[in-house]
Amino acid sequence: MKIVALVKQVPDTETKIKLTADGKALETAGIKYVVNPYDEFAIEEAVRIKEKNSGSTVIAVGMGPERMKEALRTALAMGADEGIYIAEENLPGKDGLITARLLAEAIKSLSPDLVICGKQAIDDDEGRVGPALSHYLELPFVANVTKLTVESGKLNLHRELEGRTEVMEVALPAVVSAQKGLNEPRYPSLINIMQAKKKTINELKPEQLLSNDELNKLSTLEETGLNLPPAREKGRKLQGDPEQMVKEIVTFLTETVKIS
Amino acid sequence: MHPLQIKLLGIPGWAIFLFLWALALFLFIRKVAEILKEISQGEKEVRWDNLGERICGVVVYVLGQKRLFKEPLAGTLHCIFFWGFIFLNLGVVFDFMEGLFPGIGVVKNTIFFSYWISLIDIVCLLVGVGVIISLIRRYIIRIPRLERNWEAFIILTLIFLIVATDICINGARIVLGEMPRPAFAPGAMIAAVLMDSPLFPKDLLQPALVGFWWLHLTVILCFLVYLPYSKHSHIFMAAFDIFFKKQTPLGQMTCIDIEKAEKFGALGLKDLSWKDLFDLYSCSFCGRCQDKCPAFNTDKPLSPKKIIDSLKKHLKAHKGTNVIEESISSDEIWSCTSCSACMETCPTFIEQMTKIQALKRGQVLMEGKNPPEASQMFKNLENNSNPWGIGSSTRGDWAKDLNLKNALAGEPFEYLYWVGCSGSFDKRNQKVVKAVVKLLQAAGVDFAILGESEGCCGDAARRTGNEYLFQMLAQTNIEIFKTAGVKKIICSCPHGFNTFKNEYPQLGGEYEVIHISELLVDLIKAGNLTFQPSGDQKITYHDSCFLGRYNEIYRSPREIIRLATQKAPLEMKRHHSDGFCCGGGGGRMWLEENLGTRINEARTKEAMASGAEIFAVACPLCLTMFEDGLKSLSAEEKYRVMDVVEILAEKVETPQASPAKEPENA
Amino acid sequence: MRKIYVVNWLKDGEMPQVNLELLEAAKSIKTGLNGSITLLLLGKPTPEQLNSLKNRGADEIRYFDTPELNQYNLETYTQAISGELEGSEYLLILPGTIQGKELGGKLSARHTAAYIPDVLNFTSNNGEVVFIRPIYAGKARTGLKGKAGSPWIITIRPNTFAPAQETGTEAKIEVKAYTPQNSRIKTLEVIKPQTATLDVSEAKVIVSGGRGMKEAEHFKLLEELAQVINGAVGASRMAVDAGWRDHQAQVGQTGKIVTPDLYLACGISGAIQHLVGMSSSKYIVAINKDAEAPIFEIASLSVVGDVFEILPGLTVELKKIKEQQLCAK
Repeated sequence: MKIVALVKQVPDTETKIKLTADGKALETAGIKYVVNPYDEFAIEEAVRIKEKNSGSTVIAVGMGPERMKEALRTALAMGADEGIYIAEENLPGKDGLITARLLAEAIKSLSPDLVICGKQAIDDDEGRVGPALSHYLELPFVANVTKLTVESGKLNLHRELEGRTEVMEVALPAVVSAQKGLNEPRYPSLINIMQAKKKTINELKPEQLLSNDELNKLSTLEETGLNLPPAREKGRKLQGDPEQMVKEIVTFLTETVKIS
Repeated sequence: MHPLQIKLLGIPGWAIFLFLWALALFLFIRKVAEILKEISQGEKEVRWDNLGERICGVVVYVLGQKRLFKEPLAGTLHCIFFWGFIFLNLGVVFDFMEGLFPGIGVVKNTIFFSYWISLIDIVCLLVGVGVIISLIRRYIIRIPRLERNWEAFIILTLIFLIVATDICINGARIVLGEMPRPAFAPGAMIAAVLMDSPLFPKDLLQPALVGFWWLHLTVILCFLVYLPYSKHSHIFMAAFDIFFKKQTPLGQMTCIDIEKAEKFGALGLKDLSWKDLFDLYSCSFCGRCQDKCPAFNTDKPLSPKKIIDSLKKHLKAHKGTNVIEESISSDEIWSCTSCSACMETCPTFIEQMTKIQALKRGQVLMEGKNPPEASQMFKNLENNSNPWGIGSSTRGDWAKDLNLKNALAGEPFEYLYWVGCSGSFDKRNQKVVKAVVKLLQAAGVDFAILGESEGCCGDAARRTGNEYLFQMLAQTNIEIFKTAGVKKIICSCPHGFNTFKNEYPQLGGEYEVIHISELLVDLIKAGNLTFQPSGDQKITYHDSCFLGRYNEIYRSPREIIRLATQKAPLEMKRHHSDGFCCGGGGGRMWLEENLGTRINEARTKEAMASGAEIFAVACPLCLTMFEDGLKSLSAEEKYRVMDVVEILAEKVETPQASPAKEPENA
Repeated sequence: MRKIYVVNWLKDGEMPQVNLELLEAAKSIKTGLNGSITLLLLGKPTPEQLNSLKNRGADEIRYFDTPELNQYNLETYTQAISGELEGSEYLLILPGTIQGKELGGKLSARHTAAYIPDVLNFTSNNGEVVFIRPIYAGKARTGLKGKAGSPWIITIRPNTFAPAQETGTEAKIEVKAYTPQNSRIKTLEVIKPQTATLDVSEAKVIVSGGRGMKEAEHFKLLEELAQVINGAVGASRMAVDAGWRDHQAQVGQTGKIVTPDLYLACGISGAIQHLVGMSSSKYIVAINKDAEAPIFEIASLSVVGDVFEILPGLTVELKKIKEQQLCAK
């Protein structure tokens, strides 16, 4: 089986989000970049499927700035066999469609049996590249998978919806996105890390995959500005009469938290 | 007639004698050669440096039997066996020579010989009594650490036979007139009396002498051959093991050259060093290490003695396969808290903890197999430089209102105060760190902190086997120290203290590292720190493994308590080098404890039993472990846990902003 | 002028509230875009359901009288919706649920549309609409504009807008047919877990208990509350060690790291080992007798009180509100 795992490099979840002096972009100094946590589930699942089906290969594919290659090395250390890196340069915008289309062009020629990505990237929280990619590859797509088994020609899977689980069957080849709980990603050993240094990462530039015209057509969004929401208020403290406190909690839950 | 002068089936005694000796020596040497060959499979390691220190070690610990006297009775018994063995061997040599060169026999008429025989006799009696007491301890009282197996029984029996036959030989010789009565040899005399009595047929005397003599020889040769085939290889290996002992501090793990090494840690026996394998044959399985092990004492599968036994069995079965899961379970190695009580107590200086750490390294670095919580901790260290994964940008927040000097701001400073991960992020430990700051400021110490730029010292990573991560973290810190111009470091956390002092030099970071307790005692003695001693509560002090056993700092924390409260602290049942681990070391603070009972609860109960109301500690991990222990025992209302620094800080007035002090800090 | 399409579908035959919320969003944006609102209802509604929709602000309602569309399927829905879209300057509004977002992503590629998921709000200026959405798990917000000439697709999460109220005007209703095609995706069944066994890992609401709950029995209070607010029941390490809850429910450094919208900590002191497991929760309500408990430092609402006095009353009040909500539907 040939499995493609999509990888994105994002700032670590604990990063303090700050804007640059002109307020137009995110302050990147001092940020620690990591593999998108949801992509770790995807890579792990791909490697596990490979381990169960001898003769399979896992290809880690990702697009981004130079430092993105470290993320691909991590995927290789986890067990991917080779990587494909698409340089994020000379692009007419950061539209997810551009990413999806470029990835699709790079992946098409591989004719993979399965493409797995993470449910969303924790920087933009969009979750759009997966389904968009499936359109360009003309493959079925299922989001938020929590359990996966491969049988000949199809996938048996569970995917999580709000408060319930959908049990599904999808014909292969297919694209799925991984949700937390799918597996426990392995921590690569030093030996794995050293072996990963010797594995190949093919480097591609966008112009090798698509013409400028086609790229321009895909750019449909414009970012107008970033802002930070007001800092979380220091919590209120309640003391005293239990009944009174209950009323205040209820108000807080219904009006501020907006629970259903 | 000398027993050697008999003839058996026409063969002269001396020929049989020589034949038996040759056979015994051949079997002995062959087996010893086999053992040495197995040991040589191990990795190279230099253990013959610092010759002077090594020879001193042999004098103190082999001849002086120092560590054995931690248990007075056992120590006395062992001393008797050890020195007895040496003297008796000299006696055997004399007999051997006399048999071949009977002329030596004239010595027998000298006074020297009379005293010599008396000495031998008393030694034999002591050894004989010693064997009886040993048998009682092992088989009747059934002391837990002493195994009741055939090897022990055989050896004790053989020893008894050796000394019993020796006494009988001398008794017979006295009766036969071949030897003058010795000055003071009660054993031989009683034997002589018994053999001189009417009940003993006179014509049996000569055959008896011959019989005892050959029996004595046979038993000695059996003993000789048996040694390398049993755990009693200890007898000829231990002295060398002590010569080759670890000279580096207990708190210093070996450094792996990541770039050049071909293997990282140990998977199979060949990956351990030859000294590690030498240890396996030097162990007498006395069980003292097991007695002290906090994991074993809380029903975990780990026992340092069993580790040695399992490794030895693995080696004997000539298995080239991996040790873990085949001979030792992963539960065993992961239960280890790196407290080093096993190594500190072992009379032969066997390195149990070193082997466990090598196996942990093998699992993490080569197999990628570690407890899942450890993986999370490693990721946290990689991404945010602390084991909890709390945003590294918030590391300096605890000090934001304190206006402390920042070591990277360009201002000169004398000391770097290393706050550590617990001190920076854990609310409870932030109080301790603030107390340290209060005391340093009150004493006018010129110090700076790194704040947000501080990153984990790496101890948790190293003790959990992740040498690669440790070196990455350490290199980062060494670079920062270089940029900031750090020369002296004050630590309030023993884990940071230990690694900066004993391990960072391996990677090129050399600094003067001081534990806060020692600095405070010096400051008080120099009159730089004034406080109002007081206190009527009972306090007991818990020795942190990384401060106590690892670095032998026992006095200063106690001294601080004594100075602050005018009373020395109470001691728990197990204290100083005998202190019982709190359970937080070895990275265990961040791992689940699912097997057996909780180590921290056991130690908390011990503290409660001391009669103290306040438990004093000098380590943030110990502090957390004790407070958790009190919570799970539902006893947090009655007892308090405090760092010694907090106990002292309470007695110091909060300093007002003093203009006189500012020029020093500017 | 930009036409607005609102896509709705039924969830197990029921009409989820988010459908009305999308209509409300469409109504507010209508003036800025100067377009009409068409509600695309995939699947066949009951007469009551249709009645409740027809005067909520849509100009036109199209629904499909095809049984195959009664159940969500990415491929058939993509086909059906695409068949209804006219021109290339429209705004398509989808629910910001897992299904809605996968549909949105797919449609955005198919129609090369500007895609803005999880819209919180928008501003409108001379026909220029800027949509605001959260990034970095809500730590920042970005404004996005779709290019003129391209279709725009947005998704809106439940509870972002209020449900649309009834207006005077009725929508024009049209019944459409759809020729079903074989889908490569098949739904075999939908499992609804009991809230008591809902996993803490990705639950949006967690009601958690620690030592302060005193006994295993008392966790029933937490289970009842969790049931009312659709939450999972979590526990601190102390509670798991004491055997009151299974290790699956343990939140903390050696248990699970959770990021719910609401974390209700009952009788939990907040030692660092627990905090690292839940400190990224959007809202934290902590109930503890000890006014100095460390958990209060990170709580959005700190309640210094006895859990046994607060929890029952809280559950009762919330149950009342839930019943009122159901009646309103």
